[in-house]
Amino acid sequence: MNNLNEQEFSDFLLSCKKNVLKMAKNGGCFIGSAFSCIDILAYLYSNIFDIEKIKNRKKDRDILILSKGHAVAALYGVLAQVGIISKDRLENYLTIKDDLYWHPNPNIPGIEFHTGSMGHGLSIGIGMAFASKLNKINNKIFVILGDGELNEGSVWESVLIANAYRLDNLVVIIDRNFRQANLKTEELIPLESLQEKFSAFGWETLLCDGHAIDEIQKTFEQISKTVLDKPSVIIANTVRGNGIPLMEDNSKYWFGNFNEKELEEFHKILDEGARKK
Amino acid sequence: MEPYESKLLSMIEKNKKIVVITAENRVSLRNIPEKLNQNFIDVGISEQNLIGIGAGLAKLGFLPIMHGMSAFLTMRAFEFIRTDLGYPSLPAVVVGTFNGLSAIGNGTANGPTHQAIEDIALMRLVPNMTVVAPSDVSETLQILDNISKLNGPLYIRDSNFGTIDIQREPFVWGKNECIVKGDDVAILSYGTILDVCLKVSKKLSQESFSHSVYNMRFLKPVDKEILHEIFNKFKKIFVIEDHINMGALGSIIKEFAWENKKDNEIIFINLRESFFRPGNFNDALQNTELAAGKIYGKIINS
Repeated sequence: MNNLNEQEFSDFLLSCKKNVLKMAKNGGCFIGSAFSCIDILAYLYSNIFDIEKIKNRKKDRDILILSKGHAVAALYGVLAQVGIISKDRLENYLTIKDDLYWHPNPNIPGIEFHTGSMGHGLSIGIGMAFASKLNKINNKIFVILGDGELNEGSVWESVLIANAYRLDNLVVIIDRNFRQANLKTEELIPLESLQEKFSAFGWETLLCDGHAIDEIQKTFEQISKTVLDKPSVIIANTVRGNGIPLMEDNSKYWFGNFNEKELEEFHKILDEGARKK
Repeated sequence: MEPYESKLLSMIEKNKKIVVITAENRVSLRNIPEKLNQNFIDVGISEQNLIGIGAGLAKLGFLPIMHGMSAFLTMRAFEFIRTDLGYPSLPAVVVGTFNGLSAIGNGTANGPTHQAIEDIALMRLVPNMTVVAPSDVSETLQILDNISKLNGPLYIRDSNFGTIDIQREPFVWGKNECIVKGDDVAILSYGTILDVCLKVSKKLSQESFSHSVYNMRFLKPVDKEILHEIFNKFKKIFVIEDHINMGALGSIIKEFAWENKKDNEIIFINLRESFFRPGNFNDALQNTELAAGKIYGKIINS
């Protein structure tokens, strides 16, 4: 699965997104959030992670914590596409017979921790980064934070602590879509200048377009090549609901629950979008 | 080196999976940080991250022993304890200091910000949590001896109160003990106030007032066996604790009595619903209903 070329990645991402559409009905999912961070997730699972190690829960596997747990439909969409969970299982979404609901559950293979409450995931990730150090394991802990999540004070405790202990095995990705639940981040609790904030806190800071595969690739390559003695943060500029114009940067589509006709339309839009690329 | 510190050192020598973490609360850890190297993490004054980081370590197979002041651990970090330790039932130890009428370090000099008088109630609410309130250091060490067997989180209400000089039954995990055996009335207590109750007990004995004193250290799960024994033997039961009157031993006793349709007379002596007036330990204690003389008066006149 590793090291897809640009076309292969585009096809892979399209399939992951179509998996998400399966969860955007009969109760729905946070589709806006999912389509905001799904390119990054698709890249991690297709080009960085060793899927067999994750499947077999090898001690030296890379670990992903989706701190913005409500975007879990994106993660399930990717996990199903790489075979960590079966695609059939997505049919169980929001039924009482399975553990697939609006937030990650660790009974689902590939889910490392049950996130959902904002501001927890980074502290969990730091604990896991400490665990790797104690185990003398050379893996990386990736934590995906929402930009709205940065309102939580506990995130900034974590940012201080990761710097204090120079946790070079910790990589935070901020899904910077400039939107939180209801409002634009800069209109409610402004975060800018975000890069300068993290730099000032002692982190290696990188910026990328979270929907441009070449930029995503370059950024992750830079992280894996450079030997640092500090934690890294990638501020990935993204668009909520990316790929479906109706939803893009639209506060109405943080969450979505659609009928079959609408979903059919979204399928077509995604196909066309992929062809244009 | 204090016994608690030596204990942690010897445990970690044998089990490198134990990690001592603190939110800059080093009251019981002064002499060991340098000796523990990577197995010691001080996260600074950030209780939420203390628990989150401990949960991350526990999830990957480490056994964190997390230290902080009870008030901040159980209140500020409550959601982290409930969601990140309780829900997944992660084996992890939360050690809270300065709780109730804590005599150690003159803890009663703390104002309302630092008073932990509802910590047991809060920790009992956490799913899969075991709650224990040792009465002295020897008991705390015996609790630590058992933590490798945990299959969920443990809250230790550590009052670290020197050593109570009394003959005790052998320590059994999950079991409470009778430490003074007699008839007529039962006195139930735990933690710091157990020592106060033993002073009361001495006076009662001098007056030939027959009574029993029970150390009710395990507060969750409830040791029902000893409660059946107590309710069957004694018509009158005194429940004495340095906690508010909701959610701790008093509530356990009420719940047990209701569930088992018991009509024993029960007298509750505690901190009522609110903060205590801060001061040096003896002054603060005298100002509450938990002063030895007041407890004695209530029992002897009952």
